[in-house]
Amino acid sequence: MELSRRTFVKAGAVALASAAAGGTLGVLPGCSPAASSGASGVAAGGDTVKTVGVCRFCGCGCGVIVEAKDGRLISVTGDPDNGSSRGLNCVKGYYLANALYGEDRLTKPLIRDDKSTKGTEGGLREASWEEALDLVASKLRETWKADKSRLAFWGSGQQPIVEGYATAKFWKAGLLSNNIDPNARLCMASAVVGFMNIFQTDEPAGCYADIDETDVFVTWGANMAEAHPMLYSRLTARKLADDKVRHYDVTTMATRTSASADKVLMFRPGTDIAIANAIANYLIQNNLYDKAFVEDHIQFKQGTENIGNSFEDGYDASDVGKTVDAVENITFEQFAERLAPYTLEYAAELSGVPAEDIRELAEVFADKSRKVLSLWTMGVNQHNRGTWMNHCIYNIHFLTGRYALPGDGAFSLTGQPSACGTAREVGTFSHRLPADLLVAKAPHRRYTEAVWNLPEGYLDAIEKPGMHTVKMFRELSKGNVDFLWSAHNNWAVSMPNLTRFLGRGDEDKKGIYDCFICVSEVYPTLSTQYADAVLPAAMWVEREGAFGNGERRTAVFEKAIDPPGEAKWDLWMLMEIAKRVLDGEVIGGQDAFDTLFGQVYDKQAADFTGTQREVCRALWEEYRTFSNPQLNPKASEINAAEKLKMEAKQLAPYDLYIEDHGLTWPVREVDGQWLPTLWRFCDGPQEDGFDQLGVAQYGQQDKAAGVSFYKSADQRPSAVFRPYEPPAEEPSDQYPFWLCTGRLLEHWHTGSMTRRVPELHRALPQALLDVNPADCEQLGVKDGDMVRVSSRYGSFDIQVSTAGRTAPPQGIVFAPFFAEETLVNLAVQDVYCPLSKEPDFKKTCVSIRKV
Amino acid sequence: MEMGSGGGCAEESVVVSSLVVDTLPPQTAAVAASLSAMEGVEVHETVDYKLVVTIEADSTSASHRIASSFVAIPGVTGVGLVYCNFEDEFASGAAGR
Ligand code: SF4
Repeated sequence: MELSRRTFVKAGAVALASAAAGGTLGVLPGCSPAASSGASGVAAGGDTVKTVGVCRFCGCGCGVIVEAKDGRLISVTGDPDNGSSRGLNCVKGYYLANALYGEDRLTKPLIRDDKSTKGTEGGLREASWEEALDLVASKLRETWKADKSRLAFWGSGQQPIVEGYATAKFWKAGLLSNNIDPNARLCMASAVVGFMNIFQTDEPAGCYADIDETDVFVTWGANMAEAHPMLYSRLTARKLADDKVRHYDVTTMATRTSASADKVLMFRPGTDIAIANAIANYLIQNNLYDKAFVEDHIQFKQGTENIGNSFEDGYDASDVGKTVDAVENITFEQFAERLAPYTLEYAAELSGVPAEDIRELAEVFADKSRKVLSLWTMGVNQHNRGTWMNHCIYNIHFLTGRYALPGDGAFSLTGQPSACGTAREVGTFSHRLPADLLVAKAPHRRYTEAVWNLPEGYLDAIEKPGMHTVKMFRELSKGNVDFLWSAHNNWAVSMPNLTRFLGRGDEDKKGIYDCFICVSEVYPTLSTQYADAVLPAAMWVEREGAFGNGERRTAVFEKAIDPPGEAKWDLWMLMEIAKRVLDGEVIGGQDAFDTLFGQVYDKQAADFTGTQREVCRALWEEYRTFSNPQLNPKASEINAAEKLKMEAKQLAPYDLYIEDHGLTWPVREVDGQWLPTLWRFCDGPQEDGFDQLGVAQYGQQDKAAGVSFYKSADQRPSAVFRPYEPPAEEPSDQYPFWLCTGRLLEHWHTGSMTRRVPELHRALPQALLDVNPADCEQLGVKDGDMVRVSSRYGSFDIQVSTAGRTAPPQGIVFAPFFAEETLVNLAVQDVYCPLSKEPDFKKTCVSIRKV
Repeated sequence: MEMGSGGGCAEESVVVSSLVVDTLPPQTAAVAASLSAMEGVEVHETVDYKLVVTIEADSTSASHRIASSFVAIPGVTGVGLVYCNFEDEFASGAAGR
């Protein structure tokens, strides 16, 4: 870089950072990062293009302005106009470009001719797109015609929104199959089922701005410092701004997050439910609950108990498995009675947390002079009673009137960039349709038929939910799945019980080899080693897409550069395969493919009918009809007759998401302006982010705390009593340790993007097993020794660390899951929460011995 | 797994990035001094407890290494990346094989 240019770039860099810090150097002319659809930039001369984007990595969903020149990225800037991140990114932002430019990007379709080479680095040969698409489509069509219970799609919370929408439409309406599920089943499902059970709507009421407004943070099973870096900076900034702000960390081990907390409540795995119940009980027994809030807003329930664990493949269909969702109404007094056994002492005895500490936290919730925000992630969701633990946290917030108010809330954070926007909102779960609709409900199917222009009754064929994720892979391993398509995920590293699912155990060895597996990918991964066909995909800003983050914010990333080689947009692959599979099929007397996708794809031309912008806009506008029933007369009629309240999740016209750099739904049209909502169900001026229009349309304006839960049955969310039931497995002589797995700062998920980056790889080259020094002594191992970790599921070898990122107490060990060469999931249980079907990655019992 | 840094680096390759570093109020000045002493790092402004910082290094990897080392300085509570220019690093060469 020439000196003059370097000086210029640096001056711009200072101006941008100063503006983000609220300083005074941010007014350098010509250095605004502002980008709007293809605006030309100035920093590197007039021939650069700046586009609006959103970070590819985590669920915080930070905005990024991307600058490109001659088809290559040349800079990224935290987007000051993105309301989620306000101009800041975390240090992973350095690698947004590197992630695209790894040397081993997949640039040609690959086919495996010899199935016996699965699981090895070889065996894949290059093929033309024509050959690969013909092969994948013929296998899918063959399976579909023979027995459609034997096909499956495994998607992702990293799949962009319109692609997820189109995939769900193809699978549900085109193939009439519900065998589609996302990897979000592994991370968000317990939160989702919690939302649906409690509120009858799948969404958090709060937003990230709650972090700036609260007085006390309570993190439950969440290592935000590593997994949600930008939100964690916002948390520490709030603490710095006011020295009375407190942070309580409720955790099973010391992490970077607990290091900065004011108080750590370290509990024995699984006993968080006992702690939460003890807090609720304390509040009631001592008359410290918010009577007006409870009276106005809450109904009480209890549900099926003693539900056992999902060890067996037949659990869901067992007597108890079939009844896990059942609940019945009880009175407040009965609810209090159910909680009564959960004294501070009882919870202390179960959890190992001193009774005095639990009382202190209960008093924090009771003190209405201060606001309290609960935040949680995988420790709560990946739990054999994950849905129940979600219930228990909301119970405390309901009893203390702390929900849906600025700074007073309960917030389940998402881990992937579009876990909400795609996996949850567009209906890629095996039991869902777009916009929270359920396949099992007839009015929901009617509504979907109206939007998709299908004959009435057409979707009755998918009344029964399909295979959830663990079931999908259990059936696959038994040889009961003949076709699997996986995209935007790396299942061969991220699934639990890989000993079974990769055919490496004593049983179920054939399924993985017999099944035809198609993997859409950007890099070679362990999943591509098990693929029969690999489709090279365009990545991040090599195509246009949109993500929906944890605070209901939808944001578009524009196409900035072309994909390398023959890599293609996933949506194009989907269209080409759908076209082939549906060839000659009809829906209501019309060509099936054209009925579903004719508005965006010309099958004769093998191309889209417009630009990527036009295609995304067209699909978005169709999807948006789900939340804007006035756009479709038939849908509008069903919405009114069935009281579906579909407008309650209203989305705005596509282009506004680019112009406004992301918007949080519901987005309301007021005098031609589209206004987002930050605080859902909370009455107040819409222009300030409150849910004024929603409350006015459906709710009540004179209720306690000025909130109105208008989407809930009887306008009352449910406080459901859930008892403590022990983990699926407890430590024994044979398997004396708990193994907990998770994510660390440097690597995103299975590392298929971040491990392309030499520096990230060097910072954290291998997965280490964090072990308590006292346990090391007992085991006769020291820092750096290799050990074999074994469970009843399988085993892996790993290096011991006593100075790792986490500091587990005696009896617990921690390992991250990013490293395919270590593959910790070989030993992790696939036992799942019976309600959400989300596996418990946090509590596998293992033995450890030196190798 | 293969590792790669992507396109080739021009001879005078430089990556310029800017950050906002959050500090504990009593230590803001000390942190600024420690940062300024680091090679390629400059502190341009102090806004309350926030520091406006640039890093000049020869690659995004090196920049990341420097930025990541900030958290180990006593008094640093957060490191936010605002801007990163890597026009020399990926300007040529094609991804993929
Ligand atoms: S916090 Fe997450 S979304 Fe934000 S820049 Fe870092 S990795 Fe990207």
